[in-house]
Amino acid sequence: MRTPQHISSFLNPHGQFRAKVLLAMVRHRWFIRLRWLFVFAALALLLLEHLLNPGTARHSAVVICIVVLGLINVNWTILGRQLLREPEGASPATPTLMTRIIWFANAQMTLDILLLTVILRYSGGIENPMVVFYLFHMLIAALLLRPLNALLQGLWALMLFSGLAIGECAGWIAPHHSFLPYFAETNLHTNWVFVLIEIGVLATAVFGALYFTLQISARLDEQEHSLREANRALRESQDAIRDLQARRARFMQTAAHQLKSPLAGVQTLAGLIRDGVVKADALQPTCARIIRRCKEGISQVTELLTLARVQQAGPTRNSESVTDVGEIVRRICQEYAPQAEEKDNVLSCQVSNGVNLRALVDPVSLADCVGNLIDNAIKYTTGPGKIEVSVRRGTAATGHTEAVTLHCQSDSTAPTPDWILVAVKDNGMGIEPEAIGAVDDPSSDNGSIFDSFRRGSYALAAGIPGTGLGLAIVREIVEQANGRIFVESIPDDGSTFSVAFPGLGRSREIREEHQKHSLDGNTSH
Amino acid sequence: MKPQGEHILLIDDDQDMHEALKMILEPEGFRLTCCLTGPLGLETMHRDPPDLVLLDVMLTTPSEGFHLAYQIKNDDRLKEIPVVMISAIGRTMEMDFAAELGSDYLPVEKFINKPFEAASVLAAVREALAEKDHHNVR
Repeated sequence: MRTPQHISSFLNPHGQFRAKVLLAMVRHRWFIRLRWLFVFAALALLLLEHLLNPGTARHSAVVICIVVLGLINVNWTILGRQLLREPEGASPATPTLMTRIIWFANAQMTLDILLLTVILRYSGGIENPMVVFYLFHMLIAALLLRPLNALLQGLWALMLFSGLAIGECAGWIAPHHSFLPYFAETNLHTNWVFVLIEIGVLATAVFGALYFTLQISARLDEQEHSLREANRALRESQDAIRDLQARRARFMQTAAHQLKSPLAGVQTLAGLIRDGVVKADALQPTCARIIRRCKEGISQVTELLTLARVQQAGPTRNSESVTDVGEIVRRICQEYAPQAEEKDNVLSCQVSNGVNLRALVDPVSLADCVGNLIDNAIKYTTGPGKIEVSVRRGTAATGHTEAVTLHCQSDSTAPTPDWILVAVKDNGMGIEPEAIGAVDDPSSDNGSIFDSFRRGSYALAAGIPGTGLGLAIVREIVEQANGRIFVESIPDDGSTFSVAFPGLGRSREIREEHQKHSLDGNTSH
Repeated sequence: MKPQGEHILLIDDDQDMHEALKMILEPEGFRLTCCLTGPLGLETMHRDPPDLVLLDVMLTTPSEGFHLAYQIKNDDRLKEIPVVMISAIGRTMEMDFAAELGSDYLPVEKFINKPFEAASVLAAVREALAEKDHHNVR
C-alpha cells in the first residue's frame, strides 16, 4: 500500500521546506537574537521587580542562569559564525552543512530547555506560569528540526519538568522557591493531584503542539515540493515554446526563401527576355520555364496551406474520425492512375478483402497523406516502372526487415495487431541513406527527407522538380493520427513508404491518451 | 577586354538558373559547367579546377552553400578560386549562417542577389576574376 504523501513527508528525516527555513534562521542568527531578547527582557523584569519591591529576595541562581544563558549565547554566536564561514557555508547548503546545522540547532534547544527548567526551579517550579515556554520551544522544534529530533526535545522537556515537579513534591529537591517571594506560599507543588494534572496537561500540550505543527510543516513541505515541480514544468514549457518559436522562425525563413525562388526565377528569365539576352530560338523554352516556375510557386503555396490546415486541425479530429482506409486508398489510386500512365508507370492497388480496414484517421488528411506518397512514387520513378499500393491490417512492424527505418513513434507501447497499414512501393531511383538516417535527429543540419523543404540529393541531381513539402505533410498527418512511418529504400532499386494508422481496437487507448493530455494541459494551466 | 574562355563552375539546384546563366555568360566567352548538388560540384572542382565558382546558398539544406564555401577555402588545392555567392535570401540571414558556422566573416568574394540581371552578374564575375588576377600578380 502506498504511504499517503503527508505521512511520508511527516516521516521524512528532513523536509525541503524545514531544511530551507532552518538554514535561513541560522544564517540570520534568529535563535541568537531571540535569546538576547529573552536575556535582556528577563534582566529588565528582575530590575523592575526589584524597584517595585525593594525587599524582594529573588534567588541569585535565577540571575546567574540568565547571565549563563547570555554567555552561552556568545558561544553560539562564535560557533555559528565559524559554521557559516566555511567554504561550503555559502549557499546552496550541502548535506554535510545541513547535518552540522541540524546538530547546532538541536544543541541550542537542548541547553535552552535545560536552562528554562533551572530558572523554573529557582522561581516557583511548577507554579511558575513560564511553564508555557516549553510549548514555545516545541513549536520551534516541530517547525525547524527533524520530526524525530523534535520528539526527543519534547521528551527531554517533559522529563525535566516531571523530574522537577515530582522531585519538589516528594521533597527530593529542596528548598522550594516561590514564584513571587513577597506573596503568601500557595504550596501547590506539594499537592500530588495538582502535580500529576500539571504534568498530564503539559505532556498533552507538548505532544499535541508537536503533532499539529509537524502535520502543518509536512503539508508546507508538500506545497513547496508542488511549487518546485510546477516551476520546473513551467520552465520546461518555456523552453519548449522558445524552441518552437525558433523552429517556426527558421521555417518561415526557409518558406520565404522557397517561395522567393520561383518568383526570382520568373523575374530573372523575364528580365533576360526584356534585355534581349535570350535569343529568338530560346524564347519559347524560356517562356515555358517561366510558366513552370509560376506553377511551382502555386504548388508551394497550395502545399503550405495543406500543411497549415493539417497542423491547425490537431490530433482530436483523427481520434474522432473512423475512416475506411481501403476505400480512400482505392479512390486516390484511381485519381493518380492517369498521372502514372503519363510517365509509363503501372500503378496497382491491392486492398485486403473481407478485413475491417477502418482506422482512426481523418479521411481528408488520409487522402492528402497517401496522395503525397503516390505522387512522390510517380515523380521519382522513371517509366517504365511499377508502383504498388497496398492496404492491409497487421502489426506496425509486420513484413519489414532490419533495413526499415522507423520514422516516428508517437506512443511507446509495443505494436499490437490492430494497425491499418498502407504501403507505397516503387522501383524508382531510391533515396540516399543519409537522408533517411538523419530522420531521428531533428537537430542535425542535414535534416531528413521528412523536414520541410528538404529534398533528397538523388532527386536534386536528377533535376526533378518538387516543393520539399510533401513528406513534411505526410509526417504531420501520421504524427497527429498517432501513427507510424517506415521507409525502406535501396538506391537505384526503389523505395517503400509504409504508414500505419491505429485500428479501431486502439480507439479507447488513443482517446484515453488524448483525455490525459487534455487534463495535463488543464492542470498545467 | 573580353575574357578568354575562363572556366566558371555553377553549383545551383535550380536548373532555370543554369539556363539563365548560360545565356548570360557563354555569349561573353566564359565556359560554364553546371552542377545541381554540392558533392557533385566539389567532385567537378577537383577534376577540372575552375577559374571561378558561382555558388547558390540554399542547396540540399539552407546553409549548404556556406558549408561548401568553407570547404573550398580550407582546401589547399581550391582555396585560391574566387567564390561568388548567389542567394535569394537577405544579407542578414547570410550573416546568421556565418555566425552559426563559427566565423565572423564570409569566405566569399562577391554576392549576387536573386533575381539578377545580366549586367550585375557579368560585373560581379569580372570583378572577382580581376581581383584574383591582381592578387596573383602581386
